[in-house]
Amino acid sequence: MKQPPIQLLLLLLALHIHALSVQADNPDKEKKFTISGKTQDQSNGEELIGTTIFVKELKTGTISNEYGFYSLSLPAGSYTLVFSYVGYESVTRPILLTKNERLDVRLQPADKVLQEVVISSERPDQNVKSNEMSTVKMDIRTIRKIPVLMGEVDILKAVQLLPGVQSVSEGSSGFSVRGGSADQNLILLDEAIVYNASHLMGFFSVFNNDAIKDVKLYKGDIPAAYGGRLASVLDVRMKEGNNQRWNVTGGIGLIASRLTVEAPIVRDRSSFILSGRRTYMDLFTPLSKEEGLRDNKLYFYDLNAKINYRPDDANHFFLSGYFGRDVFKNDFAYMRLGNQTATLRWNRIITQKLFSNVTAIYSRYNYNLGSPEGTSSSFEWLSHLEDIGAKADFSYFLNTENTLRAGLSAIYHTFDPGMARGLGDASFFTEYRVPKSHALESAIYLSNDHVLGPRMTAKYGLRLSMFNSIGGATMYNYDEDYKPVDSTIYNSFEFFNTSVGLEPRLGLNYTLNEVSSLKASYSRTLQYLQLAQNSTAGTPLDIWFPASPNVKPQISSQVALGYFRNFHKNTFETSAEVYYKHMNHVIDFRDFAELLLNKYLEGELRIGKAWSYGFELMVRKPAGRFNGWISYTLSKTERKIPEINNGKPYPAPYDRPHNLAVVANFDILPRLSVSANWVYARGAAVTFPTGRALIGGKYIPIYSSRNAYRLPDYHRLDLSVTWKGKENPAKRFRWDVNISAYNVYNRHNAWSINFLQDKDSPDITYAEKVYLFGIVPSITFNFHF
Amino acid sequence: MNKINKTFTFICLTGMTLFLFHACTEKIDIKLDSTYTRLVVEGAITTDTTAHKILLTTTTDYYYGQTAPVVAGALVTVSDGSQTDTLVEAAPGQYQTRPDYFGVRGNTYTLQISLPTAINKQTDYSASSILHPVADIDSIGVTFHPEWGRKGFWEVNLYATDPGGVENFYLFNLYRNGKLFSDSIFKKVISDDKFFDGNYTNGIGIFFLDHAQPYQQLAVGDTITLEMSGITEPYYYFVSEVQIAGFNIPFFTGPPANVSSNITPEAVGFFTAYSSKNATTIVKKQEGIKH
Repeated sequence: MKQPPIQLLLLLLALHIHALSVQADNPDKEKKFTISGKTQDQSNGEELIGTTIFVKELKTGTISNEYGFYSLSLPAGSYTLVFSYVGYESVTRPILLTKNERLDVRLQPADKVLQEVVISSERPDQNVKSNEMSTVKMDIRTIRKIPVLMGEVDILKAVQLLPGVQSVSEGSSGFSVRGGSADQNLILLDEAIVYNASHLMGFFSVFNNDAIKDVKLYKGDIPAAYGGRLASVLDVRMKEGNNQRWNVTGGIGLIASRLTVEAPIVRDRSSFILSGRRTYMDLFTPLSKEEGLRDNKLYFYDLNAKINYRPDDANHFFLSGYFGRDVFKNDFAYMRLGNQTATLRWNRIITQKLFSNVTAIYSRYNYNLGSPEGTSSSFEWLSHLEDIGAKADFSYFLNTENTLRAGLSAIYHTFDPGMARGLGDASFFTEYRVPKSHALESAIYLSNDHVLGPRMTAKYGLRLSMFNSIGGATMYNYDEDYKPVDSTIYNSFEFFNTSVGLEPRLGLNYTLNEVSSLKASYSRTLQYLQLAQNSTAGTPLDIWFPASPNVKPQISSQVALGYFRNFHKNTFETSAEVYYKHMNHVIDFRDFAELLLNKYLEGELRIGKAWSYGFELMVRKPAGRFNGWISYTLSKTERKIPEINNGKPYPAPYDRPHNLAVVANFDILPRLSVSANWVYARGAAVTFPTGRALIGGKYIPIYSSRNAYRLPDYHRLDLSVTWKGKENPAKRFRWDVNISAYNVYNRHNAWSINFLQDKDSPDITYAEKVYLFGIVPSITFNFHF
Repeated sequence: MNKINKTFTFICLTGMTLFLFHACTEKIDIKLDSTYTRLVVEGAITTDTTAHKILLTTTTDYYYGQTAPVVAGALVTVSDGSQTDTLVEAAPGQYQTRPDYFGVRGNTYTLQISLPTAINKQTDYSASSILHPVADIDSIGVTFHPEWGRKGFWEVNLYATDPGGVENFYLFNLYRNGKLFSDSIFKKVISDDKFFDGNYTNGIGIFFLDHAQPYQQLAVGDTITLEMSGITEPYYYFVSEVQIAGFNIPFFTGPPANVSSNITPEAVGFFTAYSSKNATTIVKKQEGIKH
């Protein structure tokens, strides 16, 4: 393992000591007091993430954290504090600071016209002033405006419209960030890892937008508090539940309906939210012309629930859970799969400057399939993956220049990759079991947000991660031809393989002037778990396999440089970033690899290097009657694996050199808005035949080198119109109707190209394209009361 | 592909079809490059007493549009370890043994080819394969499932005992009234014994015939013969790879790749040896047959 430069570590250490010593040197020179508190939405009590708190007199400030908490240490005196959050009325509070103060502020959503057009929820010049780069926060209201497939609002589809992010295939909720594969994204729902974020073969995501409050994607500059995946972190937070009054939100769509109830349990102190969604496509299958399909069941549902309780101003408890299931069933086969997560959190304001969050986490993904008992081929096939974990995170608001964050986490993983056995007496199958394994993934981290001067801010941190393989487990040993030679058995709770990694993270922001800044970042990330999947269109039969004596952790190092500029008084935000990423111990699979129900999966792996570089451009108009963004990515991603493609570099499956997305929303009338998005991407890299051979009466292709060809270019326009019902202040009931069309100009985008032999003249072979969607119209009715 | 994977594939395809009822296909012009020509070899030595054939052709461009060119005038020999036989070119590119030739269990057969003109700069090619034994078939059966599919499915059932403790690989052929039904490599059924090592197969379905397809319809009184062959592991993977290469939905398989070959130096195709057993039954009257 290549170690990060020692100078960098020394620099980080020096900066930390510097930060602390500044404080220690002059404690009484100017007596300082702390003002702290929480920021919330007046209408529903939801804590506001990222509220700007600005001290007019000192021209300094801070922003609230993931739990709405802020803390500022200022010399004694009288100040004017301005609390602002885009989409909300700013609040100005004069204070006389002579002792430590607590100040909780509730912001009122701004007038309706403005509220509806908000697409970013940060301070107006956040784009330039924040020391984060390669990071995008998306407001759920923005996401709801984007036209979607079959009317199902989907945060993962919205994320794919951002620069550096792309869909792995048509209609899929799987995404690739800066040349990473889909399993290199850490997807968190209230801090619990979601291992498979899709429903129905990936066409829908597991996130029900009615239950979601906030979505943030880190695609390069990943904070030290996060780790475990190479490419990105998608941090999704569920709503807490309205603690002011009860609310019902729902929607009726073509394929699914949703219902959400939220209400206070004890006003201001405790509330809950319960949200459900179910598809009902299978209700139409009895109408199908295909007799064979009539008895099929095919649906998914999900449930989100969250309850929170604040016994006093210093403590806040949250318990949240997600439960989702996909079900396919017919007379002779069935399949059920889904995620379950649970999170218990305790926020505590320990002192005015010290905020803590302690979390217990449970996450599980499982599937089982088979054919019903009673025949010789009856079987069941079970697989699951389970996490039990805990985290503690501390934020220390040292002074206006330094905010320190430190924490530790540990997750105990259980992998049960698969077991298949006959069912009933008549079945002839014996039991086949891929051995279970266990692991402990742990980390400690420390980071600092540091204002180095009026023009320069830095964010630096260090994460130390460790991965221990734990028995009971059976590990197979392989020879140089990847054939299993023998096995080693480890007893329960025996630690047998340890990987340790240092993950430095660094971000710098240099303000050029009021409207522009330069940013740079470096981050190193390690990944100890990966998905055994070698087709771009994913099956739900996920097998996550851990680092082991045969599999080294994947390592990525990334540098990025960006220029950020706002125009016309922050009306337009623009950014240009370049990045270079190098990945080691990247995994691919041998030709014709068998990934499912294979004890010797590790023998199917082929390990090498990958690199990705690119240029990303974003122009965004966050507010106004006309709003939206344009994102463009120019990139290249290649892999080099000794046993694949004769050891020559080849384009990675997610290499899409050009990728453009235009997202626009226009409020024609107060009650009528239209939205459009247009996406264009160069076709995915694929392998095509360059010859053929006659074998067994059929022509078998002779293939080109790996991924030497491209699918035809992909482009698509989606449109939607939203019409809102008249608002009557006397009545609580609100509604809107959304009519949308996916793929408006009905382009037959190639999902795959097949090479076939003509049935009538067998010597003719030809190419055929498979496309999934022509134009897909949909209508959704939404209500709220 | 083994049985469980196949069942899974079926479930997923049903699911996919149901969901994507408007997923469509259309012909498309894709420009493809050319590559160098390779020799293609196909042939097997079996325990049957017959003239065993070796077919020599070459690869072509993908859009060649005509029957694969044959390689005539080659010197082809097969050796069983003690005796070497020279094959006769019965038709251009088709070389065969004496009609009374049969393979013997446990022998290793070696094929030698000497070409009149070099292909890919090589004139001499060779390959070898051991001939494995195969278990006996107790009996076979035919069951009709009226509830499967649109008009029902015919299932051909196998009753046999897999020898335990060793890895066995099987290839199945089906004959209807003496005519080979599994007449292309895609229609042959292969299986390893990963999921039933040492077990009695107890009527496992080997072939499934869709009654909605006229050429797959069986009739009462038809004579059905199931042939079970014990094949080598490399040949099992070869057939499996050919079938994947012909399975056109990139949903379960990884990126396309060239199928393996046991011919050296670099060529395409396979030379193998195997033993076969067969069993016959007559289709009896079944419930629920629609026409």
